[in-house]
Amino acid sequence: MKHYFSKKHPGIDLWIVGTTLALMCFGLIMVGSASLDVSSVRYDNPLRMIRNWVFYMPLGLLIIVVVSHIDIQKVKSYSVPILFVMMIIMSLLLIIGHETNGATRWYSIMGFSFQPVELFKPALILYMAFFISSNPEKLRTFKHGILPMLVVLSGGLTLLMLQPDFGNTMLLLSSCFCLWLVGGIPVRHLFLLIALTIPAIGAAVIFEPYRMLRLVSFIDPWADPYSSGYQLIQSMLAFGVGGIQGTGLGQGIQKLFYLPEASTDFIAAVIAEELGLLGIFLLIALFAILIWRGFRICLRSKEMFERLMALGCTLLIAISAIINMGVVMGLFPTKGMPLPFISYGGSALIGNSILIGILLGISRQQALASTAAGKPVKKSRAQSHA
Amino acid sequence: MNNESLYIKRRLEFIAGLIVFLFLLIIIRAVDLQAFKHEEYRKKAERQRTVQYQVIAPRGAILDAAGHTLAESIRVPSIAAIAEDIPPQSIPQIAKILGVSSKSLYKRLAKRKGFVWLDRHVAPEVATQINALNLPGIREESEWQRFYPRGAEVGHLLGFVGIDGNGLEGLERKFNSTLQGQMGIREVRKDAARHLLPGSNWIQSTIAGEDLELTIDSGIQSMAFAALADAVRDNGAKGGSVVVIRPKDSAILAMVSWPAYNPNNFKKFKPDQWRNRAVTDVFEPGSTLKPFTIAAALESKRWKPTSLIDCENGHYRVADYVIHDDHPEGVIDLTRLLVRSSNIGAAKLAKDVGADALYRILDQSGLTMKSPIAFTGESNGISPSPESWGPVETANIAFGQGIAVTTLQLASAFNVFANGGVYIPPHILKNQHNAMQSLRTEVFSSKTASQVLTMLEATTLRDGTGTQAIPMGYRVAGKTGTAQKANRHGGYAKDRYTAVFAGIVPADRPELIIAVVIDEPAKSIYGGSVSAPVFRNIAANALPYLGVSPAQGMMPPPPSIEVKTAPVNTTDNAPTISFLQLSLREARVLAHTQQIKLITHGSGWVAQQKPKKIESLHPGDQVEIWLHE
Repeated sequence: MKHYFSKKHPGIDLWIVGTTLALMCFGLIMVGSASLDVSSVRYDNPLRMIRNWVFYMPLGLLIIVVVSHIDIQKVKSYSVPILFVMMIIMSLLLIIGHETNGATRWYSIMGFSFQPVELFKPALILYMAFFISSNPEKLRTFKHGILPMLVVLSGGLTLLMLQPDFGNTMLLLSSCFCLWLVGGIPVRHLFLLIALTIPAIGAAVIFEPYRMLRLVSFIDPWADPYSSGYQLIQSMLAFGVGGIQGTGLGQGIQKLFYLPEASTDFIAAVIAEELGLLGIFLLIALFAILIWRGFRICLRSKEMFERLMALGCTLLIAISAIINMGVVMGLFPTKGMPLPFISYGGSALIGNSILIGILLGISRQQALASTAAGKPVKKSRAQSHA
Repeated sequence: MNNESLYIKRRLEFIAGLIVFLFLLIIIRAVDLQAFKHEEYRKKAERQRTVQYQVIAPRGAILDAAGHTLAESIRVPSIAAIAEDIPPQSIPQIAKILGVSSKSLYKRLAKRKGFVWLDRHVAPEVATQINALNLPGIREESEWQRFYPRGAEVGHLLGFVGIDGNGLEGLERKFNSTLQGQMGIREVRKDAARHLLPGSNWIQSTIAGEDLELTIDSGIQSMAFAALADAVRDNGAKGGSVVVIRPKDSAILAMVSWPAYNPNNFKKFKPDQWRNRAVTDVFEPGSTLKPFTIAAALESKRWKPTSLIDCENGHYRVADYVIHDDHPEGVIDLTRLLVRSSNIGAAKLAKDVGADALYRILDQSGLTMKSPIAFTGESNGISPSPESWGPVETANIAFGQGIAVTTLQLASAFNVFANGGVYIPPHILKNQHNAMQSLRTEVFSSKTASQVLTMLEATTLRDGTGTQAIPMGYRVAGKTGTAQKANRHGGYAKDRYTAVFAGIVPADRPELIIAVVIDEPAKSIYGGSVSAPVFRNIAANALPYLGVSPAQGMMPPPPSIEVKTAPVNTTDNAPTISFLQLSLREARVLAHTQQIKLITHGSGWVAQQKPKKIESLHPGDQVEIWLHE
């Protein structure tokens, strides 16, 4: 693999490759530990979830390799139709989607289920990057600058809120906000937006009582330890039990049905219990490296579309990780947000693999560009491995 | 352009800064939860994950002097549950295995939260079936069940243990804290679906109870039990008790009571039957107290065994009260006084030595207080203090009236004669042997002791009252006693007696002290004819068993085992019927069941019947019986 990258693709970011592989392996191990008992009770087969995960991982790697070979500039012109198709898929979901736990987030086809939001997220980033980079002059005006993007975003977020999927709504909202900030939207427009968004979020919380409950329970989970505070308490207990060194891989107890979604949304709690603070530090370090490399690609970009694509992909992963970890530690209200590459779930793995593929593709383009310009920036590291 | 790239760089740095800030927040929170709140949360998590329950420690065994088991704890399964964890739909299944209705089981589970016993001390198959269900909230728990291999023989002495492992009667209760050990606390982990996880911790491990080693000799206990049971049945008595002690150190070798009960299923018996009558019930010792009166007289130095005393031919007035003798005598010596058991003679001696001197002897012989063992429910006996004794009281106490003692007290008091005048309090724990030696009290001189012993031996010879006490080949020193029982009104019941015999055997080298008390015998009331045979029965078995050789020139018959053979087939296979020895009531019952016409003469017990040998009877046949008192 390294040979393949280093010879034919000088400059591909090996930090990202290595970190992604490390995260995937970490995820496989933790899903293995977390799912054995749950699987044996739920599916009468302790290995079912691990088996699925082992099947998904090469699929993820394949997607990374394929997407990293696509020149992102050539996709730019398809961004509107891609987003349009994704919007239709997201709308259809509300009609024919599969409902679980009061939320309609899944398409269920031939025994496989898929979450379209994982493809909708890169599509929206692609559209935003395309729009901002295509009309740099128009951005200064409200009407032709932020407004069209706001309309598109509102449409997408409305579809998400109807599922409902509050976590991804927040993720996309904050990611787009950052893209606009970097893309050159006047700061006064962004302030106006913030002034409008906060009451909207407030209204959403107040009119949907379950969100209010979640919000309150995150502030003081012990007030209602058996119902609204239960998930968070179990997660925080897992952290506490783990201590510095953890109870040892596979030795956790919280995953035995105390944690509601041990192998998906609350996988970080399993890591915390079994591998302790050291495990959590490892997890944070891996994400920090990934985010650092993402920003590095961003800073090296000579061109706005490329820069915003790199930023968007990095932020989708970074904010997902932050929300997930913040939620399981009781810093934010509870939301269903998987931890990229660690949480069990095929759709998210495919979506995140696309994001990594895009990042790697951009890093490869940058290296090719600098080689062409006679400045072999990335060569030294890449060749040292040969 | 340069400006713009700087602008972009600044904004990217701002976003990166926000991300770094959020990551720092997460790191701080992780450190807070995992390093600083570790202990607090670990405890909280442990609390929700674990169920604690108490485990009863194995109770110590009770052993006899030879180390044979009298009581032991056996591991048996019980079915325990956490009430709210049991899925309601599985209740009928559980109920079926436990053999109860699902309605009642449902009610029981609804009534209580947390730990609840579903069934205790169940058969192993029940536990296996419950385990096979593999349900949350229910599990097999092993408990200890008390088992008494010798059953009823030791029932009163040992008592029994309740289902929670507390001794409720007898020695089980008396030495509960020693036997019980210390309860342990065990902790089991469960997952959130309430399945118990493998492995468990001891929060506090059980400390096994200590064994209790008794001075009891199981062999003699059996012999005493059998002899007492036979005597109570044969005499139509209400009950009785026997205490056997070893003269050397006052170790209790046997202690039995009747009516008996089986401690293995004590609940099937009435609480009245649980009573250890040998220590809880008191009786007037009657004539068995006379040796102590004589000892008091001998100690006064004014009397010798050969001193003469006028027994007034059976009538003697003390204050406004007339004392009678059953066997009127004239002027006799003290030995003869004891042999003929003269109340008048004893009363005169007591009058001479005085209340204080007599009381001292009784008190120092342990007749006024309970034993240092302090058995559960043990009585102090009833003994008025000498200041309150008037002439009548002194006279009465001299022949054992107006004072009440327990069988154990009587046996250990008799030991004083065997022990050269020294009283040793009785003990039942092997390790108390030395402690008891330090409590030795010299009651009277060894000369007095041996003189009384010789006189006591005379009562079992020739025309004494205790002739029936003598086992073939051994010499016995003992005294009979027959006392009217007190009624509820402070007087004496007309026809209710206690028949007593206390004795030392062999008289020349004492090995056993045996005190026999038969309560309300119906056929004969006399200690000599009711209790003395029990003494003989026990001694005849126990002495050869202990390896005590018979007195020289008094060879006992070689021990033989009686083998019961099948009854010889008579012509028409009809059982032979005998009315002999039956009471009138029993005879009538028998006649009724056999559909025989009965003609009766006299009252008391059947002494004669006609025809003499009833071999074949047909309904409507006639039998004539003569009864005598």
